[in-house]
Parts: sequence; C-alpha cells; structure tokens
Amino acid sequence: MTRYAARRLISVVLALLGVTVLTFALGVLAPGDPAEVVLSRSLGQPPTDEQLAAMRHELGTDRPLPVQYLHWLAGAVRGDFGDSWVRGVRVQDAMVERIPRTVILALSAAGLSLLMGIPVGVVAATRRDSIVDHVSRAGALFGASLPSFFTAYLLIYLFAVKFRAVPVFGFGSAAHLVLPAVTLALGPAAVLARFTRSTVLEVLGEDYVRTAAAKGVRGSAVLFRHALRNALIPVVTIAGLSVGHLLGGSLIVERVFAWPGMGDLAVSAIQDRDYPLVQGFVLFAATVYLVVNLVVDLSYAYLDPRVRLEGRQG
Amino acid sequence: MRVRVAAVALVLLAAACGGNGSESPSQAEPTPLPDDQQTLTVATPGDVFITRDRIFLGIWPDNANICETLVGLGYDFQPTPLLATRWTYTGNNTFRFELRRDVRFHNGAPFNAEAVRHSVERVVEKRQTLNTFVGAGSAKVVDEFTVDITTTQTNLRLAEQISHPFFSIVAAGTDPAERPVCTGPFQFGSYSPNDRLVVNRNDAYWGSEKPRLRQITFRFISDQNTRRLALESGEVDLMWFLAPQQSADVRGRPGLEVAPAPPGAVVDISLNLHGAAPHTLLQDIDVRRALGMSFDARALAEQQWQGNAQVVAGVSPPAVLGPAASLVGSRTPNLAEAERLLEARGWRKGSDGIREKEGRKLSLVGVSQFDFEPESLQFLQAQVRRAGIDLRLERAPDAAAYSAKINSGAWDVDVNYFNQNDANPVRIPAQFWYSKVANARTRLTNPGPKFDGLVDEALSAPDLTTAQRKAAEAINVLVNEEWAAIALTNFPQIYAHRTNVAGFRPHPSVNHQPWTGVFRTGRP
Amino acid sequence: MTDWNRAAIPAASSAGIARKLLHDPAARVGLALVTLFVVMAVFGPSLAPQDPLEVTPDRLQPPSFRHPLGTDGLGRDLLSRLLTGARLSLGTALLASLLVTLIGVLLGTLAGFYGGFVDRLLMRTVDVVLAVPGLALALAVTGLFQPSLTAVMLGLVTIWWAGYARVVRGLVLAMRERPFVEAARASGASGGRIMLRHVLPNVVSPVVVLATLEMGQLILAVSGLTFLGLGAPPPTPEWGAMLNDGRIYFLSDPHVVFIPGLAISLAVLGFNLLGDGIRDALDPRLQVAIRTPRGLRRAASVRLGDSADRG
Repeated sequence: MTRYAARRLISVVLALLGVTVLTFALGVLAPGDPAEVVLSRSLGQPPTDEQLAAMRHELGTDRPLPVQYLHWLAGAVRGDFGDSWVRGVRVQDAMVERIPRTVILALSAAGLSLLMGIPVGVVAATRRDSIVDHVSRAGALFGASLPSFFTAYLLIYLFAVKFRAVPVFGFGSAAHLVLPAVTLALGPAAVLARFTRSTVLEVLGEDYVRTAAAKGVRGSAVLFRHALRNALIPVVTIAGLSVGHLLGGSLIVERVFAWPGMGDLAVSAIQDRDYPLVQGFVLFAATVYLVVNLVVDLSYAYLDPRVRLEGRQG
Repeated sequence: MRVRVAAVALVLLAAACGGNGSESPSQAEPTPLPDDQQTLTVATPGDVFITRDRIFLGIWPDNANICETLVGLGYDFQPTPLLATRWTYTGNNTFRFELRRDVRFHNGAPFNAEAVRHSVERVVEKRQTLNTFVGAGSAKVVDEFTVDITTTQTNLRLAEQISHPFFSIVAAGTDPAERPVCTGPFQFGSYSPNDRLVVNRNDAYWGSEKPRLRQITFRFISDQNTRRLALESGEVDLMWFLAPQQSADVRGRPGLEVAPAPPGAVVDISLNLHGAAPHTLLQDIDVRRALGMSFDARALAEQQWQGNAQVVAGVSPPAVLGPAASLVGSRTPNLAEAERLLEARGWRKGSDGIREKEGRKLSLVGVSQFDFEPESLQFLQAQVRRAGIDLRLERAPDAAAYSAKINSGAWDVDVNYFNQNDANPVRIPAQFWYSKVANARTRLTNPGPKFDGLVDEALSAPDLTTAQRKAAEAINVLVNEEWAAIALTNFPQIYAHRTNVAGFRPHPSVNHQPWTGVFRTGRP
Repeated sequence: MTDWNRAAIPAASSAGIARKLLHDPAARVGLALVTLFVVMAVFGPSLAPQDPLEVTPDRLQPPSFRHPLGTDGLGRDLLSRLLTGARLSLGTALLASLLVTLIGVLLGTLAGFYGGFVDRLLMRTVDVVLAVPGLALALAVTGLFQPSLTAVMLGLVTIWWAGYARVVRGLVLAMRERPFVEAARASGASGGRIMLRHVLPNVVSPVVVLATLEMGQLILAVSGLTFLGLGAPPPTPEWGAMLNDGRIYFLSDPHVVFIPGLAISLAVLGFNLLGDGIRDALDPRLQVAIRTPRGLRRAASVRLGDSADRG
C-alpha cells in the first residue's frame, strides 16, 4: 500500500512539474510584451523604448528563458510565487483575496445543482418513458445549454429589476449569492439529473431490488431505501467533480454579476500577460485537482486491492 | 380637481426646468433632498485603480474629485486657474506658478509651494511625467506661494500638460496608494478593491462652488448590461459608458435620463504609411484618398450610434484647438470620387466586387482594440466595400496582442480613439504621429517633415493661441494633405442617470469629471 | 465492481439498434434535431434567402414576412446569417470532435495495449493536460494564433483529447484480459492485428456514445470562445460571434441575442438526446464504463458539464 502511495505521490509531483513547464512554454510563445502591458496600464499611453527597457529589467523578462523559469521554480518551491506584474501585490495575496469568494459560489452552485438535479432525475426514473420523464429531461438539458450570460441577464432582469427580490450585482451577502449560484448550477444540475435517472433506473432493475419488491415491501419504501442509497454513490462523485470544475471559476458569470473570483482573475492574468499570477493560479488549480485525484485513488486502492495491481501496469 | 391639475402642472414645470442635467444652478431648480439623503451611487466600468504602483487611487483614470492640479481643464478644453492663480513662462525652460492662498489639505496641512515641490518629486520618482520633461529637482520653491518648474528640455506646453491628473498635488507625509490626502471637494473615505470607492464631502473646500453631495460611492461593474440593469433597479443612480445603441431605449424609460458628453476623444483611422510588403498599398496617396472618401462618418454617428456622436474633422477634439479649430478642413464623403480615383490608379472591380490590379486584390488589414465594439467595425467595413475595398478586420483578443500586432507593422489600418486628457492642443498628434516621439507606431504612421515641423512649432510656441494654430495646421496636414489619418466622429461617451440626479454636466474629458454641482432632488 | 466485461459486449445487430433508437421518443427528437442542423450545415449557405453579410438600413427589425427571424443591428437578415453560420459553428465542433476522437482512440489504444513505458508516458501527459484549468489552457493555445475558427478548434482539441485517451485506455486495458484476445495472441497474431481486428471494434460503441454526448459540449465551447472575441474575424456569421455582436441589444431587441442562443441550445440538446438514445439502444447497462466510482471519475473527467468552458 505504501509503495503504491509513494508511486502515486511521485507521479503527482512530476505532473505538477509538467504543468509549470507547459504554462511557462505557452507564456513564452504568446504574442505581446508584458512590460508594455504594465506600462500602458500605468501611463495611459504607449511607453517609450527606454521605459520599456527599464520595465523589462524590473520584471526580469530580459533574462534568458531557462534562468527565468528556474528562478521562478526555486521561489515556488520555497513558497514564494513572486509579485503580480500588473497588480503590484504578491501572487498569493491576489489569489487569497478571491479564493473564498469562488469557493462560496462553487459550493452554493454545487449544492443547488444537487437540489435541482437529483429530484428531477428521480422523478424521471420513476415515471420512465412518460411525458414527465421526457419533458423534465429535455427541459433540464435545454436550460443547461443556454449561454450562461443569457441566463444571467434573464434572471437579473426578472428577479432583480422587475421583482426587486435580490440585488443585481455585487458580492458579500446571501442575497448576492442567489442569482449567480442558480446560473452556475444549471449545467451541473442537468448532468446530475441525467446520471441520477440512469443510475436509479439501473438500480431499480437490480435483483435485490426486485426481490425486495417481490417480498412485498411497499413501492416507495423500496425506492427510497434501497435504490436511492446505491444510486447516490456515483451521483455524489459527479457532484464532487462539478465542484472541481466550478472551483475553476466561471468567467462570464463572474463578470456579469461583478463577482470578482478566480475565473475572472485567471482570464485577466492571461490577457495581461501577468505570468507570475498565471503560474500561481494554474499551479493552485492543478494541485487541487491532482491532490483530490490522489486522495480518491488512495482510498479506492485501500478498499480494492485489485486496483493496486492494475495500477502497477499504469 | 383644480388643485390636482395645478399640482400636476407644477410638477411638470419643475420637471421641465430641472430635468435637463446640464443646467446651471442659478435657474429655477428642483427642490434638493435634505442633506442626509444627498448620496450618489455611480457605476463605473471596472476597478481601474489596480495598477502596479497604485499611486493614482481615486485620482486617475476615474477622478473622484479628491485631488486637484495646479491648472484645471475647463469644459471647453481650455486651461483654467485651479490651485495656481497665474502662470508665466519666464524663459530658460522655466514656468513660474503663483499659487492660491488659504487652501488646506484634507488633513489640515497648508497648501503651499513646498507641497507642490513634494508632489512633483513624487511624480518624477514614479516616472509618470508623461512627455513633460519634468525631472528630479525641476520644481523649486521661490517663496511660500510661488513655484518655478524647470524642464530638462524646452517644453512650452507645460502649463497645459500639467492639467493632467497625474500632476495632482498631494499632502506630504501621506501615501497616495493607501489614502490620498489632497485639496479637492471630496475626501477619501474607503476603498475595497473590485468593489467600491467611497468619498465624502470636504466641508472645508476652498472653491466658490461647494460640493452638495454628502457622499459618493463608485461601484465597479465591468459588464455594460449589468450597469444598465443596476441603474434600472435603482441600485445605482448614475452610470458611465452606456452603449450608444442602448441610448434610445434608456431615454424611453421613465425616471431615467441620458447625458452624452461633449466630444473628448476622436474615433479615427490611422494608416500604416511605411509598412513592409504586403502592407504597401497605402503608400499610394490616391488609395488613401479613396479610402478616406468612402467612409461616411455621418452615417456612423446617426445610424449606428443613434445620433450620440458628431462628425469631427481632425484627430483631436475641436475644442482643444480653440478658435483655430476651423483651420482643420472638413470633408464630405464622396463615394463616386473614391471609385474614380481607384479606377484611375488601375484598380478594377472584380467579380466579387473587390478591386484588383495586376492580379492583386485591394485588401487591407484592419486592426482594433479588443474592446472596440464589433458591430461598428463591421459597419465601417461595409462602407468601404461599396468602393470595392476589402477591409479584413483582425480584432485583437486583448491589449497585449493588439500592441504586438501594431508593433509588428503587419497591418494597414488601425481603428482607434485617443483621449485628450489635458489642455495641450498638440497632445494627440505629437503622441501618435510625431517622429520625435520614437516608438514602433510612430515609425509606421509618421506623415513626413512638414507635419513634424508644425508639431515642433506647436510645442515651442510661446503662447497658447499660436500653439493651437500650429496644432491645427499640423492636423490639417495629417488629415487633409497627407491623408495619413482619417477622422470620423467623436467617441460616444454617454452617461445615464435617474431623473432625481440634478446638476450633472458631463465633462468632455472623462478624467476631469467634476462632481461639485451634482445633487439629489425629490423627484422619483 | 469493475465490470468491463459487460461494458464492452459487442453490440447487437445494427438493425436492432436502429429499431430501439426509433422507439425512444427522446432519441427521435434528438435525431430530428441533429438531422435538421446537419442539413443546415451542409446546405445552409445555399438555402439562405438573402446575403448574410449585406448591411441594410432595416436595423433591428422584428420577425416579419421579409425577414422571418428579423434583422440584427446592421440590418442583416438573421435567418440567412443563422443558416450560413451553422456550417461554421457546427463544422468547427464536428472537426474538433473528429480530431479529438482520432487522437484519443489512437493514443489510448496504444497505451492500454502495450502498457509499460508508453502507457506511463501517456498517462503523465494526460494528467498534466487535465490538471491545467480548461478555459485557461484553451485561451492560451488559441491566443498563440491569429484569431480564427481554426485557432479555436486547435485550442479545444488541446484540452479535450486527454479525457478521451484516458477513457479509451481504460476500455482497452479491460479488453486485454479477455479470453478472445488471449486466444488471438496465443495463435500468434501480431499486436497490431489484434488491436485492429479485436480490440478496436469493441471500443467503437462506447466511443460513439461519448463523442455524440460530447458534441454538445464542444458546440458550447466553440461559441463560448468566439463569444470572448477569439474565432472568426467579423463579419463571419458564426453563432457565438452573433451572440457577442448582439449583446448590447439584449434589453432593447432581445431577438438578436435570443436567436443564435436558441440555435446553439437546440443543437446541443439534439446531440445530447441522440447520444442518450444511442447509449440506451446499444446496451441499457452500458454507461461508457462508468458503473464504478473510479470509472465514473475517469469518464466524467472528459469535460462533462464544465460550465467554465461554455461561456
């Protein structure tokens, strides 16, 4: 077991290293000069050649590429991710400011998606092939495939402007959370509805459920006690994955609702060619993803010995 | 019944008198709300204060009226006395400023020559001197209320340039990045990044027009539609940058008003005159003429932008040129002439409507900033297509890609707009076309020695009137003789606010917007 | 319990599948929608009643006889733009889907079949690609090139192939242990031959289901990226670009935004319903190898429901 764990840990570290190299390479290849972005932002006008040279030196972009990468890596290993070039604050500070907001939004959206998706899936499964089934599936899918800014504007217009039930924009209170969370929850809710439906259907067809039904246990009791419990395991996994995706932040929702989160930070950093910030963000997101995978893998390996053997081949 | 009619009539009369935000307070004005309700919430297009140095918090580019400069910028783009009462050029690259007396900073410290010296040193230290040639030690205290500023090179436009908010006078011993302490009608309250900036009334303000609002909250909302929705829901009272295509719709809503600003930036088309192959088509002046004549700026202003813009003759807002603005000749579109010119140069229309000559299509690469509204670009594209010119638009996805594109020279036409942020009449031509401001762009766009000579004269003119004249002549050469740039309209800068916001007068320069005359009334 | 055996049962006869498909009303709707959009993509430009690029003074007209779907902010006929743009939006997504499937199947099969170093190398790369946030990576890759639909497609392929490769590898791994593969090996067949004749055909059905289901996500991702300003230069009537152009009219003339949005949503809906239908028809218990939590993780990590990419 420990050998397996050690192997997986090493592969995580290697993957992270690969991620940093990939990010650095993409940054190098991207068109545009970070020094020019920084200066144009501060000055409000195009910089002179001397100002550019001075800023390149200040940012360190005039050094050879391997030196830049290794210097950054050495700092990262120590926990020092440098300063954001455009924002002038430490990379950690720029991210720490936004992470809680994104986490709150992601968790709320995930929770809402569970509340919205699972009942729909269950209802569709129990009334399989009926009108309710088809309409609910199609409706869920349709709602989830509308462009998110469209859903956002629609919800704002209805609930914030017309009904004045919630604020239009901003962050900081539960009321501000409602509309963005609902907008983000629609996609995962539809996925959850589909999975719940198929898993419940499957479980309902299992022998032990049919046995229970044959033994005369009441219909709804059969469903709720046996089927749902088993169906929930894969469904919860999907929900967990959705949280992972949501934690990456949704750019459009963040911008439309003026909810400054990680999605907006990441895209702004890329557009600003703010490489320390981009590296910091990507490293953070990749670490979260890989560590979560690692923990899950290890717990399954603990539970199912065959996995460890299979893992040796991979 | 009669009482009710009279009441309605009174309300209508009050609405008619005070409804237009650009009225001066001396006329019959609507009843202001009591003081504790004199607050205003403004939606701005995003938090612009997050920069590397953060030294312009509340100062620039969004001016929260916390700080002031020595020289102010009037609504007519002319320099006005603000913290300085007089200024004269005394020779030897030196300007002498006589300062206003009895002015105090928000922390009670006196405003004097030493404060000016300190502020100028700070700007120099942060390298934000903006082509003024102000250097370390440039500012010298002559006496308590007199300052000399000596530039490192001859710069006779210093007084006009110093109206830029970069040269705000801040109190010594304070850190503007944390908490700006200045002399303005409002003082710094609080700042929450990506959320809001709050300023409070300065009751000890020196000016004759006292601030009427007790507090202004600037909320940062980057999405234009959301800003508008926030205005409609009442969460904000005033918003910046309404899309011109939405102005008619907003005007039609009860309780809302639209306030377009006077021309402050000009949408123009810069041409690449010195490109390498294949971007050499515009080196033929007749092709440039034809291109210029096939744009219909009036249609852009009236159809596409719903009348929220006006045709402008040159690349600077006419007001900054003063009486010399008429020296910039205006043009009317002439599609027939454009086509005649192209035919004469051997460009024949192909089967797809695009002209060709010796097997080469008349295809121009057009670039623009990523936030330039895409539909208007397509409007312009369709216009020149009528003359048989194929304008291929390459919108850059972000600012960095745009700069890289411009610097690479791989373009023919750049659709852009430039802000006039101070009273210097030759600011825009000097920054974007003048060869002595050497950068990748000017190397490609410079229209030649006659233009350069006129810019030289404008920069070294001893008085503003001559400078304006020379600037206008330079722009005339740029636009009408060399056809190096094509001016279209002013950039439509539109504010929208609730009807109970009175006294708001949009300033043509966004970063000089005053908030002193604004107040809230009892109207819904 | 891993049940790859059941997951990879060779499908019943195609006639049987087709019949099952047509019996399912949801799948019928999906098939109808997909057919409609495919026809639009293929014949669209010739069906367009007017020139999609022609700027007219009839701006922002609501639907009328002359303009069945109305006009946009430049007076262009929305129906014509929609028909012409179908080829671009759907074509890009389809091309991306094909590339992703090809690369994923190829690499996944090689890794799963040969194992060892090849497998480890591939899995490391897949880990790296999946660990980087999708939108960030797609933006970065697309930004390397001149804005065009090709650049968008390349960006999406870069992030999408990894999930497919992982799923296919899993399928192939399971199949390696199966009796008929052992038998083929014992009889001396070469690796390549075994892969081609025995392994690949069994991989096809789950992959087809996956590709159909993912098509919807790809369409959303394409319009998401073009909406952000990448993608075909104006005035191309690509649906995501139409959404972006029309954004300012959302409150005054919503049909300009609603029509391309609806088109996108219906196309996505169609592919999703069709994919569900095919999966149910092939084997109701076939969940693209997702019956275990571990398998779920693998399959679901193929960018399922990634709201960040959808724009």
